[in-house]
Amino acid sequence: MTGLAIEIEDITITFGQTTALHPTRLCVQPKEFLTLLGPSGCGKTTLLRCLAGFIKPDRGRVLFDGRDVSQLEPWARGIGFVFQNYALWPHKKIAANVAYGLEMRKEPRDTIARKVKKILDLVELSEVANSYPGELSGGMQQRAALARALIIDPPLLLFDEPLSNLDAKLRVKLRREIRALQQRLGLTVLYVTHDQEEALDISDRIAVMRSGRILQVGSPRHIYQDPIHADVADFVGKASFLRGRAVSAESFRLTEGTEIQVAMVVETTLDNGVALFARPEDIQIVPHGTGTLDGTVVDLSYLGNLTRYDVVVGAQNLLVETREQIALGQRVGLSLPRMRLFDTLPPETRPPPKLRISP
Amino acid sequence: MKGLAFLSARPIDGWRVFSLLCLVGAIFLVIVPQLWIVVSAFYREGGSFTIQIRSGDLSVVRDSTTDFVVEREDPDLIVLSRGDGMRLSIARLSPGVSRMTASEPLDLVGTVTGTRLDAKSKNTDLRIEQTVALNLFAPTAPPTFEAKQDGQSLLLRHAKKGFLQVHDRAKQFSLQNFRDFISRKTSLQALWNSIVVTVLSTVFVGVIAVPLAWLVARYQFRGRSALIALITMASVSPPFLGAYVWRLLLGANGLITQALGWDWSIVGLHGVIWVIVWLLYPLVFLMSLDSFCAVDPTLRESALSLGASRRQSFWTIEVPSCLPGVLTGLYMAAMAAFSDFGTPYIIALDLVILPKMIYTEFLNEIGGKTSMASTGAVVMLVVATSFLAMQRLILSGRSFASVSTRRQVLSTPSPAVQGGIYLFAGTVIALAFTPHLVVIITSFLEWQAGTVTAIPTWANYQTLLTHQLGAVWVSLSTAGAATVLCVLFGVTLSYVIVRRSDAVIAPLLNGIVMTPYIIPGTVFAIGFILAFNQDPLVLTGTWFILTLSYFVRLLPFALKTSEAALYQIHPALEDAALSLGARRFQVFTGIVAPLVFSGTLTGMILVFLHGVNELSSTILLYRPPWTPMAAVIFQNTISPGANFGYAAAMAVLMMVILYVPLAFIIRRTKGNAP
Repeated sequence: MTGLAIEIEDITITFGQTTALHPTRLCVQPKEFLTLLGPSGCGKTTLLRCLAGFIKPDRGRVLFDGRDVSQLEPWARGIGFVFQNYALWPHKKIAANVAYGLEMRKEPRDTIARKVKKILDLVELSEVANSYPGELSGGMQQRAALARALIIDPPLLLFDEPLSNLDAKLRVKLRREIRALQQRLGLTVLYVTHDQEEALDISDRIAVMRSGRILQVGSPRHIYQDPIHADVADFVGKASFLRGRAVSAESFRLTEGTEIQVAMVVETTLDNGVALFARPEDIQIVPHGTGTLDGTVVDLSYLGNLTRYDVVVGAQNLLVETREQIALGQRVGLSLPRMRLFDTLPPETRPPPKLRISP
Repeated sequence: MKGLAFLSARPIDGWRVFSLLCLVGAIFLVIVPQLWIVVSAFYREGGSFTIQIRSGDLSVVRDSTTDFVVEREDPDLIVLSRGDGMRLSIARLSPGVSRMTASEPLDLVGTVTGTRLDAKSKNTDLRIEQTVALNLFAPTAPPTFEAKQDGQSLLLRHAKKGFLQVHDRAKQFSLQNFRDFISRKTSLQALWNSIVVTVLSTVFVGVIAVPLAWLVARYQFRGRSALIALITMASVSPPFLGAYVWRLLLGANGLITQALGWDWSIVGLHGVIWVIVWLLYPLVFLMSLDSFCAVDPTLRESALSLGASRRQSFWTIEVPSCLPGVLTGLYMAAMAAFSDFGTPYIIALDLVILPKMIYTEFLNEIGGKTSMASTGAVVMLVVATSFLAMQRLILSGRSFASVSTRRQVLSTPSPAVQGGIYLFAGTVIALAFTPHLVVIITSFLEWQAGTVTAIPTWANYQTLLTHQLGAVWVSLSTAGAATVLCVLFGVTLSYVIVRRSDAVIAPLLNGIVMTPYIIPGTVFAIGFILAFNQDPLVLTGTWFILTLSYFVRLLPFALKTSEAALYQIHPALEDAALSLGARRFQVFTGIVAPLVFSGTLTGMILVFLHGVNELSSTILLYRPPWTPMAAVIFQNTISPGANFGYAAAMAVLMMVILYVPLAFIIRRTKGNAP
């Protein structure tokens, strides 16, 4: 079966007084791997559960290949869902867990046995077919849950933070496996995660969500390099912000009053521009007095390949990542790249940390 | 057509229909019987009197009048009046013919049927019955009894020698029953005794059970799990066993009292308290142990790390976090002590105490009016509700101890502490199991004229096997059927209440189903009898009423157990099945029900054991041939001079029936036992 095309038309979902999802539009291409990325409570799981049919939208439509399925019950949708906690039934053996979807479709017994064997081979769980879920490791349980969802041959597979309960190494291994499987079977996948590294690694496109809204949809590269919203910039990867007000296309006045000359990518009208953004690795450290700005290194964290410095500039602080080694308390100059101008302030404006005593 | 279109547009939710049906059933089985009690306590029949006719002369039978006052008593004219101004006069016209006049127009209803006739006025619904003393030599023709409407009064033609009973059946709202209750010395005494027994038993139970539970929760010692298992066993002892054996040993003619020549006996309030304490401490022990073990050790450790001493952390951290569990245990013990019917009945025949008083009132009045028993029942309900209110008040704002992620580390006691634990636990266990041992021994001894001899015999068991297996069957089948119903409705109702929650029906259903939990057994039984002893549904005295009452009384327990199991099942387990193509009903039967069932197996076995054990409502509800074991044993213990031998054998059989499933539970839960 080939992947399904999904159109989400102005879906709105409220729970009592709270709006979980503001009117939302999204199109997913057949065979596309699209990730919904955002902090907890942003509405990503709500949107996913709406696609599965567990929640009915208050307004708007969901179209699968052009067919309106908004009011269809979950059992009639025929799509796969992989849960965060695996949701394997503890009273059924692995083989029985996997066979369940086919039993509901009243397939003949021998067909079921054959398909279960095939799918368990695919996820390398043939040896534990007669074990109960409780006897399996987390990674094996995750693969069993995947097999159970895949066996009904779904054109669309939904993942709800499937790897968040696993340790870091296994997480990386399994997400590559999921990606390979999706490519091989030609499935459309919607994948929910709050792990931006996972999203960047695995997706064709990412939809970044916050407070019940999709802020930006684009390829991982696009999302990382050209965020169109301060929230997106802040949530995906590390971000350095300068707060102030745009004066002209080349000039920005910091909140402390200093005016700096900087090349800007302008997505908004200059009158609204209140924050400049760059990735920490794009800012360079230069000798004091020779850059656009001067500051003092107040904190550092050694990351192995790079060192991340926290540089206080006036009343603000910037993150800078570089291979250079600079001592704490040293005064440095900063050379800024082309920075993006946003019309909203970065979501978390951290107070500058106190000067750390060097060991 | 428009209405039908509306129906088809909205799919009918099966669960909604089911919960509505359950709501109707719950109202019928829980609310209606209680309402009957209240109605019969507040509505009172209008009184009665009996007139004796002796060779044509009229007189009022002494002590036969209730509510009516005799104003005038002449051989040819009797006048009675009632508090509401109603006045009745019976005037003799000639021997065998009288005129009955009321202060308001009196109308004959229906026709005279041999010995009785009915008449109505605005405020009365009179039934007049004629009874004639049977004379062996008199002709067998029934004596004449006729009436005729004469203007606004009745002309009666009656026997020249006999009785006329006049009974006003019209019910009126009245507080008279409560006035009677308060003015009667015995009923006040019963209320006072009940409260004394409840309060003192609960205090003593707390003093014994809570420290022991704390020691067991904190210290590791040899025999610790055996101690827990033994106390668990003691928690499902047959309720009347203790009372009987302690009376046998320490009663006025008790084995020990006589052997030692004591002047003292256990008969009295102190004996009731003594027996109830040994009956109920296991309950409080187990509840307290659970809550002591559930305290997260890190709570105490963080208090210690912040500079609190052991003593300070005990009083400021551990005690407050265990309090809800301990108090709930004590509340349950208090309720059980308050409702206990068997113990006071067996220990002291002449002791008045509420459940016993209601029982005897009810039996005395059966067939007549049950208002006094109902009044006592209402008083019991009020007391029980105020206990509940007190418990809620104390516990309000306190959440239950959180389930700890880390086990308590048990410390090894010093030799002195260990010796103390063994002495304490040994005494407690010995006293709790004295009844069991004595019953086992006496079941192999011969009984003569109500006293046990030292002659060993198998005869008791032979009698049991040949004559009394019916009782075993009644017990097992009623408790078994009630358990099956509890499983079915516990699982489905908890699902309706927890998962498919409806803003109105779910809390209402929950409230009604949980109500029997606070209704004392005696009260519950009276409600059942009042509600189900007339057309169209006559259940009193049948197998069904026992089953139904066990079911309704134990359903709260089953429901809470199922709810707890359901909370352990993540909703994603259901969503997973839905997304794989299962309908909601298939999800329930294939996923939810099996998981809840396996989570409630222990609880359901306990439901069964409580059903087998039940006495306080059984004793009012059963009628031969549907006599359960508990009733057989009980009847044997209270009938003076009865052969207790085969009842002892039956008690031993009952212990086997109780303890075999319990052993299974203990083994099953040993893995995660505290």
